[in-house]
Amino acid sequence: MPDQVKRLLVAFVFFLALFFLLRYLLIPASFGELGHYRAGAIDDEMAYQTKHAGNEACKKCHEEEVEELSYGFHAGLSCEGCHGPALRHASYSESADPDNYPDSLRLSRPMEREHCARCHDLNPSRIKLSSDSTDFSMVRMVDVKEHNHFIYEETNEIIRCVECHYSHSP
Amino acid sequence: MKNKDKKSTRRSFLKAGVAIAGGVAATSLLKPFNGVVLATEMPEGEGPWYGLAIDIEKCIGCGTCASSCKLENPVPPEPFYFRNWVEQYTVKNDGTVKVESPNGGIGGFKQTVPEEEIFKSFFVPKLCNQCDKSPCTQVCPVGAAFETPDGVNLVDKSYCIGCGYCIQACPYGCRYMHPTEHVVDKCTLCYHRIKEGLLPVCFAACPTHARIFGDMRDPDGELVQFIKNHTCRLLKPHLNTSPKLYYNALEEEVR
Amino acid sequence: MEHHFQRLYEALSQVQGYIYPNEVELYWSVLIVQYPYITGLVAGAFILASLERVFNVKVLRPTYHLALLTALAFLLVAVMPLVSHLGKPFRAFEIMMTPNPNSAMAIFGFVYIWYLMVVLLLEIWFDYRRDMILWLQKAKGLKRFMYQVLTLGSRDISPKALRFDEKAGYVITVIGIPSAFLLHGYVGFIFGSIKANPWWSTVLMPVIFLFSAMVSGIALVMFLYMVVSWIRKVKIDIKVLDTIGKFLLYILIMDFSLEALDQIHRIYEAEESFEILSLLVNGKLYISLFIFQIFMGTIIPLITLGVFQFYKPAEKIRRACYAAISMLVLFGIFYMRWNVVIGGQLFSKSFYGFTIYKGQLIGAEGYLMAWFWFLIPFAILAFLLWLLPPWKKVEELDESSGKED
Repeated sequence: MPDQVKRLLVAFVFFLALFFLLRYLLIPASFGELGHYRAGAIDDEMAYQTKHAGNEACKKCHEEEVEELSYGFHAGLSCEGCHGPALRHASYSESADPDNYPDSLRLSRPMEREHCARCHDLNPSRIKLSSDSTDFSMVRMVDVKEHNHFIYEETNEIIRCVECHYSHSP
Repeated sequence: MKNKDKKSTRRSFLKAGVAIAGGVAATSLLKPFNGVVLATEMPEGEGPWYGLAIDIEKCIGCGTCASSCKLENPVPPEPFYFRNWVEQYTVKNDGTVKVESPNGGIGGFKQTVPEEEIFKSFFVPKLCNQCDKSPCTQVCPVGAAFETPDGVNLVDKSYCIGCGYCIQACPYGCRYMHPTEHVVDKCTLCYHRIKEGLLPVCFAACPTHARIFGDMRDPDGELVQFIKNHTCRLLKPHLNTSPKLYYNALEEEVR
Repeated sequence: MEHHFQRLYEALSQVQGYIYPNEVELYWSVLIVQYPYITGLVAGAFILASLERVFNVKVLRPTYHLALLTALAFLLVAVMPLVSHLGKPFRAFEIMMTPNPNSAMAIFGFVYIWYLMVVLLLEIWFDYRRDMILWLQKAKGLKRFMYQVLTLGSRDISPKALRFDEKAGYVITVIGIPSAFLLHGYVGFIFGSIKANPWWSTVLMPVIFLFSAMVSGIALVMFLYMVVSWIRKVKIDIKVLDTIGKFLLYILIMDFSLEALDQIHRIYEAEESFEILSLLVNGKLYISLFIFQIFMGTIIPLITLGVFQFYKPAEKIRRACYAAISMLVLFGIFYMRWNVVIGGQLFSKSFYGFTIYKGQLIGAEGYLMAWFWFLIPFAILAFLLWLLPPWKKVEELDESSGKED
């Protein structure tokens, strides 16, 4: 074998050895256990904490409201769909005095017309329904802007949907 | 000697030919061509294999799915990053199609086309299709995009190099580069929730139960029964990505 | 971050039609345009070099080493735009550690290493080994040190050893040609295999990338040959330019035909994506495709080179024309990459609308960065020419020592 080839071979073997050493050192531990990925990534994903508690958790303190929600047109709705994620709120409530409840953990109580409009505003994309239907899977629609358009003189604010319709059991 | 050689090769060639023909006949007898089951072939294995369905007829476009997802998961609030969103399709009388999704549908929709011009109109919620033959996991150069044994496509955020190849490969636009983490992010089907027996948050929050989550291996489960009893279609079936997201009443205009 | 969102809000206000909400941001920026452009220059320059060596086009001898060193200078930088574009550049090594066998991109690391270590470096090493040993005796300081390292301590310049060098170099060039094809055809495949994107997804993509790579690499060497000769104040051999020009013409014709075929096929088939692509081509890509890529980068060079085959004006005029053509071709091929990479991301995969691309000047993905990665190879080339000057190589010794034995 010519001298120069020997020298090249030494260089190549050095690079290859370096490559395999790096491979040995740098491949994560659980890589390839379940497929071509790091199996530990599944545990990482499972370790993420949910922020939603579910209606059952609300029942502990707000039994009446959850009960009201279970019949009527809004049956089956998720409390958190309107009030937002409640896990921190719920886990705090279990141990604390409700009168000294920290504001930062309070949930929102959306009252404005726009909130109701998300589901109930007139929109031809939604399925139309006659007003006497009892099919709960359908949604009643009104022109949320015009419907019962009444302005309070003192505050110059429009009357809100929730003043006539009780949102937990409309 | 030479002649014999020739003969023997010819014989072995014939033998091989018969074997191939026989093999083809045998396999076709043993395993009749079934086409595809539920548009995708379930892998061998134990435990659940998750799938999902959306009933377009029930979607009212309230956007609660999209907003609850952003509240549950570390998705940036800016309107360029969505793990799920809702589209409003409006087919006009002149045949043109208008699609809208302001802020992914968070906060609901307004129909801007006058009613007399509308031929038909509907909402289509979108999220990761959890494809079985997913192009995104196929192209990931390092193995940071992967499919779990229970059929959920995830991203290993501590391993992703942020090349964006999977974003290019996803035909449904379901992936984005996280602006502060600089790795790719996508719908996890709320893996942390489903593994605790909870529904993915968008499924739990849907007010009209337009979204059905379930185990494709459970023939009596709600998901399989829904797929069985409805005319379900997939998004972009010609790309052969084998999505596990089934749409009832999906219109031709939806892409 | 605020600035980033500000730009996205601006882009959002300029979206036409409907795009998926995640599509507002265009993730593969000008740096990813740079990547196939630079790899293409490497492959093209190497193929021009191999023309001389394997196909025995003796006229091109003066450009042989220049082409090899150009290929090396650009190859050393080829991955840099790619790596600096990554969200997590320091994780780039993972592509070598756990390459996903199903991924078109994963194999790039290996194709790159193969081409760099086995083809280019080896070929240059065998080619320069004797000269480095000879130069070593006179050199001082840094140069001396570099020769000592680069020769790997080899000192054997016996005729037998030199004959081996020559043969090894030849074999490597022969292996190098398919490797160069592989390197760049493969870059085309990275785009061509994305079935979600109808602008990219075509079997012709690797072939088109390959031919446009040859076009750009040949033009680059032509340009560099003129510049280097001008700096060294030696006469430019017009025969060299004429020959390179002839090859450039042939390959340009093939490149143009292939791209035309691709578009004609698209237009005639007129699949689902046709409407949005025709809007793209006639709208957002109009200037960069029709004016920059096709008219300036292809038609003008084609006509000029075509005329030169029948009518040869005075040397001075031809020289000026070749200089202009090489720059036009380099400009046009850059926009070819631009039209593929940026064009493929401008339209929504819903086929209902367009986003916009507004490049920045500064920043990790800005134009300055792109220029930086384009100019660095020229600096590397200058260094390589200083270290391994092709014009100081002892040519005649080659043949005489070969005959002696």
